[in-house]
Amino acid sequence: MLSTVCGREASVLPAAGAFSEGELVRVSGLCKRFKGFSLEDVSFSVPRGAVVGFIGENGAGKSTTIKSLLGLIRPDSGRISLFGKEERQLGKADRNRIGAVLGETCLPENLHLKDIDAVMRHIFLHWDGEAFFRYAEKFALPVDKKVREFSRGMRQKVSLAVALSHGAELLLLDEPTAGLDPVARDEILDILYDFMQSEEHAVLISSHIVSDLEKLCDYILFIHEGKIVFFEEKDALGEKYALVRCPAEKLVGLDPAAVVAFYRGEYGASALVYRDRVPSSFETERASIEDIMLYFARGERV
Amino acid sequence: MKGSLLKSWKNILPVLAYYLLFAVIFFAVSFLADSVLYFCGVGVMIAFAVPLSSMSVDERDGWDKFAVASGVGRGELAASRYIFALATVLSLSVPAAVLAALLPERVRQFASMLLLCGISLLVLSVALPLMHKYGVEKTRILLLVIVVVLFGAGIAFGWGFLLDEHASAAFPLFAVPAAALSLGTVCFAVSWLVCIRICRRKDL
Repeated sequence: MLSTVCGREASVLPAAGAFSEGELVRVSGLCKRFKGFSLEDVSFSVPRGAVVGFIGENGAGKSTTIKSLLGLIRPDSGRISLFGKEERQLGKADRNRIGAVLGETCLPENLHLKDIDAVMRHIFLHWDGEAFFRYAEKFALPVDKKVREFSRGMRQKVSLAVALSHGAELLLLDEPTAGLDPVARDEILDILYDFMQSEEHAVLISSHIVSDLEKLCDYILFIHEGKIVFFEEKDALGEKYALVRCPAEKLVGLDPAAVVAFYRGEYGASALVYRDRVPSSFETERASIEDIMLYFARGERV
Repeated sequence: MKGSLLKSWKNILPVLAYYLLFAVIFFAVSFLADSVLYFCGVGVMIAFAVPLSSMSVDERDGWDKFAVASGVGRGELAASRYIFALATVLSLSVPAAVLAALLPERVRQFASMLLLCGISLLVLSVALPLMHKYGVEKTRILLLVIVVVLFGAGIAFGWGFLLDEHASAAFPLFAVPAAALSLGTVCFAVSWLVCIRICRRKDL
């Protein structure tokens, strides 16, 4: 269903244009130019019932992509479809099917949770105040304090509580776990697991904390310098890539086509390789998503 | 729209007491001095400051991003700001009208009040698109200069006309106030349309 996309590595590009019933999001050839940065030919899809983890360094283009999906940024070219409709044609009811957490809180910080409930009642068509306060209780958020008095982690939780309290089918989450301690991050992951109990739901989540995504995601979308490097099933990544650690002179014996990228160190070398192209004489290790990301982003190329 | 207006109202509540205090003090000053000018002059400043404060808070919170992502139209977002600003002007017009009715030379007081309402609308017509286009923080100083210039020019010309017996004799007393109010209303409407265009083109 999904294609492997890779600005540098992959050979199969995603089918442009056609929207499949099984997808909640399809992005084709998205381009946006800013001074000093550009998003180039970004293509991927978010299947119904799946969690797509969006990884990349700071400034790689994750937030710009998510903002484009939310209609906050006008792309220079490319197509974005959500729920089978062009992004520009989405009405209020369609947009209400999306729950968003943006990098910052983006909620009125002078307000208490009760006030936020009152405001959201008029913003969303299917606002569920009870669900909102249930989440607030679950996240131990004080109802009588202003949002600006909350810690950063608590503010993130308020944003997530809002995103989950209006019957959204699709969550677009930009760094929802940023600033949270491991316990709070785990709570949020649990909430997202619960959300994904419905096969109709889908999540696109960006995070720097790759270990969180490793637990949660079905697919990994990796962006580097504004270009998609790959878009793969998480389990397929483990089968496709591996790490080889050996003396630098031994690494030279590897077929260059087998090496994605490598590091040279004082005590030897290590390389991210295509598992199926490495001879059995080389001992391979499992490559984590973080390893894959680091080698693609910072490793030397053959 | 209701959600955005309610949010603006709740956002402005913590500072509203200060504006009310100013309004009450200058209401008393106007009453004692037998002139609506003092209250209405402060009214122009408050009518500018309240939407400015509200937008400044929105900017800090990133409200526009949240609202647009949640299905609030960009036009609706601009409209909520204009309606909020208009509500502020109208809220200040009520005590101004009461004051004008209580003071001697009632007709001249009402003419002054209308003149200052017109100036308020003119000030907002210039300020709101600038705030939307460049943001409140970047334009704060420029906005203050614009307010002072427009307010000063309006008062100098309009008040001069109202006090000049020759001019008052040549034109009806309400000629300049009505012109200022009409100009303010037209500019406010045009400004609203310009603002919708700005909001639709803006990356958030």
